[in-house]
Amino acid sequence: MALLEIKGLRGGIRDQDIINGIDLTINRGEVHAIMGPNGSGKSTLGKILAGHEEYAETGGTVRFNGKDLFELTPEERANEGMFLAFQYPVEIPGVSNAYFLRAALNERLKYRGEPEISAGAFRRLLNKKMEQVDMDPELARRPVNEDFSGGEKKRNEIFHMAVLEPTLSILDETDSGLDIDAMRIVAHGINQQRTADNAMIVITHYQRLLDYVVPDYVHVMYQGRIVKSGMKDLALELEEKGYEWIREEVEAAG
Amino acid sequence: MEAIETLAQQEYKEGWVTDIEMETAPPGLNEDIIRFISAKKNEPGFLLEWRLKAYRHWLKMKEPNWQYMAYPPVDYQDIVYYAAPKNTPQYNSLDEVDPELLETYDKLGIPLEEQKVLAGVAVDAVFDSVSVHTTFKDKLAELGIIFCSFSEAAQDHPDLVEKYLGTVVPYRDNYFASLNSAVFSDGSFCYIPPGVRCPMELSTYFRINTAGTGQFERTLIIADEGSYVSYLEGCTAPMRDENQLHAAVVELVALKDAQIKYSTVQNWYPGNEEGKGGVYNFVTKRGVCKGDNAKISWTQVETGSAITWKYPSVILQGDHSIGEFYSVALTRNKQVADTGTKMIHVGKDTRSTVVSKGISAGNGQNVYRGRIQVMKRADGAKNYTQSDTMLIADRCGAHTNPYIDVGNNSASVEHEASTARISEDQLFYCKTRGISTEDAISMIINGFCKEVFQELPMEFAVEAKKLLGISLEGSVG
Amino acid sequence: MTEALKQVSTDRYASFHEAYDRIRGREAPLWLHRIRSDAMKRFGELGMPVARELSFPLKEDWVYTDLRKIADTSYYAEPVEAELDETALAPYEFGQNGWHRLVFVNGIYSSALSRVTDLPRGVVVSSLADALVEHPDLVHPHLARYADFERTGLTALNSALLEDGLFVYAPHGGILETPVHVHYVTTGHKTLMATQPRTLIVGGDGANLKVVESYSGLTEQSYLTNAVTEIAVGRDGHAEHYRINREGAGAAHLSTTQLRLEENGRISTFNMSMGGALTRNDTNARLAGEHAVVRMNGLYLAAGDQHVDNHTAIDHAVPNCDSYEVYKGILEGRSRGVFNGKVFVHQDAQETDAKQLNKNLMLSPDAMIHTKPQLEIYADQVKCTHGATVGQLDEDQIFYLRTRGLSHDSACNLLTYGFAADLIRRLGIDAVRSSLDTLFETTIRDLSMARDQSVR
Repeated sequence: MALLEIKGLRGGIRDQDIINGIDLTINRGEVHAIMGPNGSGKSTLGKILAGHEEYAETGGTVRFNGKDLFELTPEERANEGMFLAFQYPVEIPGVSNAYFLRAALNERLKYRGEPEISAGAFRRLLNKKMEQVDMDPELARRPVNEDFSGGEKKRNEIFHMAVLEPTLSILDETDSGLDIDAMRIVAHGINQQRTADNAMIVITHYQRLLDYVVPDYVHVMYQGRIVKSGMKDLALELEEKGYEWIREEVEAAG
Repeated sequence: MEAIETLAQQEYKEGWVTDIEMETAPPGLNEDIIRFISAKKNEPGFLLEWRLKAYRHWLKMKEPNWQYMAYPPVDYQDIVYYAAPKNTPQYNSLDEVDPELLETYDKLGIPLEEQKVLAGVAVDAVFDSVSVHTTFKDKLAELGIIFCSFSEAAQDHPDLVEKYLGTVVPYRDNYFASLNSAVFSDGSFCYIPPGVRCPMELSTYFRINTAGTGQFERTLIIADEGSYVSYLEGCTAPMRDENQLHAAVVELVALKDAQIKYSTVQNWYPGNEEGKGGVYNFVTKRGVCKGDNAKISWTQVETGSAITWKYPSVILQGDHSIGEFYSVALTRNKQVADTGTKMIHVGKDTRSTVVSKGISAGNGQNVYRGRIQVMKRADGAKNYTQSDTMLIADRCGAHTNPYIDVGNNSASVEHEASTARISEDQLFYCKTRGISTEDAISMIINGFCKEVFQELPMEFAVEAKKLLGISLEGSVG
Repeated sequence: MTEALKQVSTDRYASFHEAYDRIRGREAPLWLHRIRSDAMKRFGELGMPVARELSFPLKEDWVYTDLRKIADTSYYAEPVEAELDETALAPYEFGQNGWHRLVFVNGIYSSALSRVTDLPRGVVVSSLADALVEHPDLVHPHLARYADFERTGLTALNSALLEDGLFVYAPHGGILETPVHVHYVTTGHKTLMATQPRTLIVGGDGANLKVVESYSGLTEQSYLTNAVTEIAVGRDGHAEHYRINREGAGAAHLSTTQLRLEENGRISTFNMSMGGALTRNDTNARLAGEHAVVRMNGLYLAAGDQHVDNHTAIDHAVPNCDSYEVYKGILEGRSRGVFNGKVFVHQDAQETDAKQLNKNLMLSPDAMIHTKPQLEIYADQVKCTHGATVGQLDEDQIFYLRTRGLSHDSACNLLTYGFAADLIRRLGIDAVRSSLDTLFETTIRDLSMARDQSVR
């Protein structure tokens, strides 16, 4: 059974469709990159999948773990194993990162009917994961994303991902705003978590992240549709030619 | 040119600017005086009744005492409540006018012809503002826009006046509004019919005519459904005025989808360095966004008057309606400016923005006083308020009194205030670039007020900037 | 005021007048007699501040908090003896046995429940009544010197009926490492009780003190607490002060806290209001010496029909002082919150740095908030900012938490907790921090459960 199966998905924000019919199947162990020019609907897809309340699907089906995704609340999707790494992570003043992650992890365990994690076990887990993604321990003590630099926020998203061990991660422009060193660290963190059991959707505008996080498949979105799919070479082609030729191809076809 | 001349003379003959006989009521206030005023103006009966109700109510009221600065008691029986147009000195040429005054006009870039009128020099009819005025009046009439003096409106459009007068500022509203309601002299009336976008800034061309409207001015502007109007009040030129007390009332009514933009530059005589002789400017200005999606925007630049109390407000009654208040108030010498706004959120998803910039120099006292009120049913109401003060002397004062009352939990209200001064570093930096201290200060102040100036119509903004510079001259040590 | 009204107001406070007559009969130093009699005279003139009986500008301070019902209530102003078991206090403790603790039950000092362990040389921690006997020379220069009873009726009333409370004194350089916990408890042994707790905390030059003031109610009945606290530190002195209000559900809690700082002095005060039907706190600071720094923070949580009002005033009288103030409020149910923060910068107080912030979280459609952050500045070389916000939980934050697997309710609770925790985690004493942290977390959870039940 596919991990995620999207069929004919349409949807957007405030009665306006931004996604105009998407079909996409993702299996465990796969990394799919979604590329496309600004405004093509990449981030909207991520938000609809994660269940942002301002966004709504208007047609099509999505099955996640065999379940109808749209029957699930955002937190149920998370507890089913979905993870959205935000393009603009949100600040939560007063709540420390560690406290927050423990609350999230316990929700997940509760969902699965497992006992809560002890303080000691959680601390050990946290230390291990911090090391794995090269996270400054100070950032775990500080309130979630508050006064974090842009790069620190992105690294914190990857840290959350490492702790929560999702089966499907949607990385929404995780590379935006990062310098090359920060991107290497983030990419390393992502790669650390690639297994045969989980899958990732990497949403990005540029090819450069894909030098480090090498995808199995590349899809190009334009005007709310996937207009081209290919293997990782497609990303290189896009890098070389830009998005203009895609536009021309679509217009010529349609 | 000839055509204009002819037109001007014609119009003049017909007396658009009515040639009122020189007649003055004796000083004092009683019902007879009010009847006299009303009769002189040939007002419809309802208006006299309304004036009398206001007067009777006023008699029962007490003068307010909540303000920062006490003012010498006003003898209400010593005021002349009805006078024919003021007897300004008539000069034969500009040469006879106080050179200081002319210098100021030059700095403001006021055209020579207008300077003459302002200074009270007899002007020939060739470029009389009246003619310009009239030309535009015809153009407005084509669109169905009514724009005339309040007195005229009372006679020609009594139904509109009766329907809207006192609906935003009732005659019982406050001491000075009641007084105004009883004795108001004249003012402007403006009605924009449904769907009409007024093609020009009203009163841009009437700078001269708005001078001398008197102590108790009354303005009523109605923007019918889907209409738009931008109204400019006041005059950037300094006005020598004998009247101590000014108690004007302005009422704005914006119906569904209508927009009113009201801009003021106030530069009345602030008094001498001791504050003597300046004007007390106690104004009630309020607008109501009566229909859904209506918008009212107040912008003001206040540099004059000895004491200003003024809180242009908006009642956000219609759903999705918007209220805005942008203000620059400058005080120096012994001036007091106590100004701000009230935004009353009644309808759903209403929004208000308040940006207030106070500049305090000399011994000036600058007060921001505002109230943001979110009523229980005003779901989704949003307000953002910013009130900043810049201090330019160590004997001035800056006070912030924002009241925030929220009775709805889907509302979001934010208030930010700061007080700062021009730093020595900034001045030094400017000096190393060859800019004089005064220019640097004026530059920094203009930057400080930028958000407000942006809201002013272009030419008004240019004058306002210059005005600020002139007002600050010599106040920086 | 007319004669008829005056008559009513004397009748109104008859029990306070009787209590005053009783106290006046006691033996006391002349100066104390003088304070009480002057204060009583002043209270006779002012009465309690009831907005409709006041005129501008005093009226402004009381428009949102109406004390008329309290003024018209005939309270029982005599001491009420009550036995109290140690275990009754346990929930209000900070889990620190080593602390100095003074307990007052219904205004009466309980030596059985109090303990003061080893004190550094010259440091005094005792009941105020004892101190008046044993150290009148230390009390006299300070008592009623900072909280001015000429100005407000409530301070006048407390000063007139002043009998007991806490006295803490640290001499020049005296350092009191161990915190003092003073606990004013009201039991339900008598209806409509009124107490007048008085706290005096004095630190000499370079002294260092930590005091926690708790007000608790073990009853649902109506009663009145009218407390006055004076805190003064000398040059380089340092005081940390916490005020925790967990009064009973029927209580009216009125309080005045007056801080005074000399050169280079530091006072941090934290005021937490959770209990009582009506709470009004007046917290004022006077920065009287240069380079002094005051931190004035507060947290209020109101639900049901609770009314909580915090008025603060920071008086920058001299140059080069800093003040930092953050008050946060969480309003549930039909509660009403009031905040009025005034920063006053005198003409000579150049180089003042004052920051003030009031943030309110409205969790219920029936809650109400009135906030007024006020600046009055008469100097030009100053940096003053203030801000106030009223809002609800942020939808983006809720969504973010939900994508991490938290339910909508847990997300709301966590964010509400975070809103408050932001202040709590800055508290200086670990024991206070962790116990308030837990208290807040559970209270928020209970409130949210109560809300769910009321919905169902």
